[in-house]
Amino acid sequence: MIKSTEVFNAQEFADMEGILARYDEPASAILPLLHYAQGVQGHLSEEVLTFVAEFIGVPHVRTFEVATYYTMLFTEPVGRHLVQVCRNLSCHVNGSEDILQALKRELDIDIGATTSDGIFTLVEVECIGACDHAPAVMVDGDLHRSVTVDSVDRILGSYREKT
Amino acid sequence: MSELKVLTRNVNRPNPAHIDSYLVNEGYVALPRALNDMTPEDVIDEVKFSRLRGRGGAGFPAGMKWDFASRDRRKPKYVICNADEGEPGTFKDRVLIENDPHAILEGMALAGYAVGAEKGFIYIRGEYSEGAKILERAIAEAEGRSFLGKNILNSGFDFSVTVHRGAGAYICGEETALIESLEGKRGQSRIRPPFPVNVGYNNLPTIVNNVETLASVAPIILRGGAWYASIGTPECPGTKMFSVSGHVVRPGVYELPMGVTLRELIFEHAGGMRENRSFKAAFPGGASSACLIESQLDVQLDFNALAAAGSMLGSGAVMVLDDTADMVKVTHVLIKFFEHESCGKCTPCREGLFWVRRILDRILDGKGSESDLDLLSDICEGIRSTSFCGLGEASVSCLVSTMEKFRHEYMAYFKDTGSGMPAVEATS
Repeated sequence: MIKSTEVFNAQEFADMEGILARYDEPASAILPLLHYAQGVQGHLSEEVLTFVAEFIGVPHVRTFEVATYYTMLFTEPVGRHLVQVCRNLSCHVNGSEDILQALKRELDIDIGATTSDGIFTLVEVECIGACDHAPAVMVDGDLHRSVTVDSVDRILGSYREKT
Repeated sequence: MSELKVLTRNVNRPNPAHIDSYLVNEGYVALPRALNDMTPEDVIDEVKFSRLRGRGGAGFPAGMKWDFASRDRRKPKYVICNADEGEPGTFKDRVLIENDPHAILEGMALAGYAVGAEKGFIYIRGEYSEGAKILERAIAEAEGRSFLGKNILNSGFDFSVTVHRGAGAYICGEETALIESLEGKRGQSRIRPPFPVNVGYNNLPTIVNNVETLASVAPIILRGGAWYASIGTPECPGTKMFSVSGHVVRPGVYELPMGVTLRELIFEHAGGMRENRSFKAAFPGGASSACLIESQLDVQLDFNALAAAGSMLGSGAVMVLDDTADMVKVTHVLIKFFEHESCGKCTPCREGLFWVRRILDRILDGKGSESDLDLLSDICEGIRSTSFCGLGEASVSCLVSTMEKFRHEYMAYFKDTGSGMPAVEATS
């Protein structure tokens, strides 16, 4: 059994107990707890997945199978800010490819890679429900609407300042 | 046909998501009326009478679904609001969640009362983190005024709602995959029957309704099923929120009576095509629907008329393309989406989409040949007819329809000259 203090501090542990208490069926808390753990740790390491499984009282495989299934969960480290470019149709026909190229140039990385300073990871994503403001880019949880090649620099800059 | 704002009545008002904004516009009037003056059966009858059909895409009669769940005696029962809006081109639920969360909550409470459920979940797609916060705030507000929680408005009826975030899997919009995901598993579809109304969350009776469907319930209870049934077309009553995007001047959500034509929606509401551009094609029900062409602009947008036209209404995600669109590239974008979102459970969908995408890669690379079209048709038929769930079945509609209606564009790729389309495809 992994001790909670090795992975999460007391406050985080209390938060996780609060999440677990929302569900009559403990296994239903797997996804929300993994969201929470990733928010705290940045990604879901083997240690974290093992801990969450034991915390809930389910076999280890239950957290591992969930973590490796969903696009928004990461089992490998990612940058502090996740830059997600929508590639689906309405963004595509409104220039998302140009935005993606501009981001690759500006960050000097390829899709799926993380900048050497560990600040940004660049990914392509499927429709994020912002088709009325295409092309759309999401950075972490923030939606950037009607992005232009010229606005890419400013958007990235605002996150550089935060780090 | 002009806009009829039933569901979008609170959109763009000041501070729209706050409970006081909801209350001044007939909010939480239907719920006390149902609790005081109606039996659960009365509520179901009213919804049946309205002939409301599910807005998530399948168009199943909501009242009938509720009736099935109410007849199952096992307890506890669950109400799930499907807010896992993932069909490409769809953003109507986001607009409702951000502008009128209480309309969704009131609909859920009414549904709970009708079927005998005391617990509800809102399964919201992971990317809508802002929407999840808005819903959580709204739940707290509603609990504070006794519209949710224990003994609602002293009626003896308990109903609580929990927001549950998805994590980026399109398939979880399919109701059985959603339930699997809510149970803490990989979101993969279950075989149906049994249907969730009997064997749902934790194998207990569960109704899963789309956000827009649930938001329609309070107005139906308030004004009566007959009023609702008088809007739209006889087979598909009510208003529909259309998400319009792509090459139109004013992309956005437009709430119109069911049965409005594609032409009216695009040219009278969404501002028409961009300057000096002409309409080429539209996918009326998102990536899962077959495309429509110019000669079909007068088709009515409702479940039945679109099915008769060989396409489908789906969630009402109208993606519009003008003459700059290269339909082979468009199809490639959509197929890549389905390949990525295939859950991997069944072979035809998982392997079929992989091979379809590779063949399209080859065609776009200028290395295809006409026989590829026969090969693609063959694989499409296999995927469509043998996939385990609706994702696979619908995934090749885009390809089959573009091969049929824009065969010449595929043929152009088989010549040395490459694409026969203009080089410019997107503006930026």
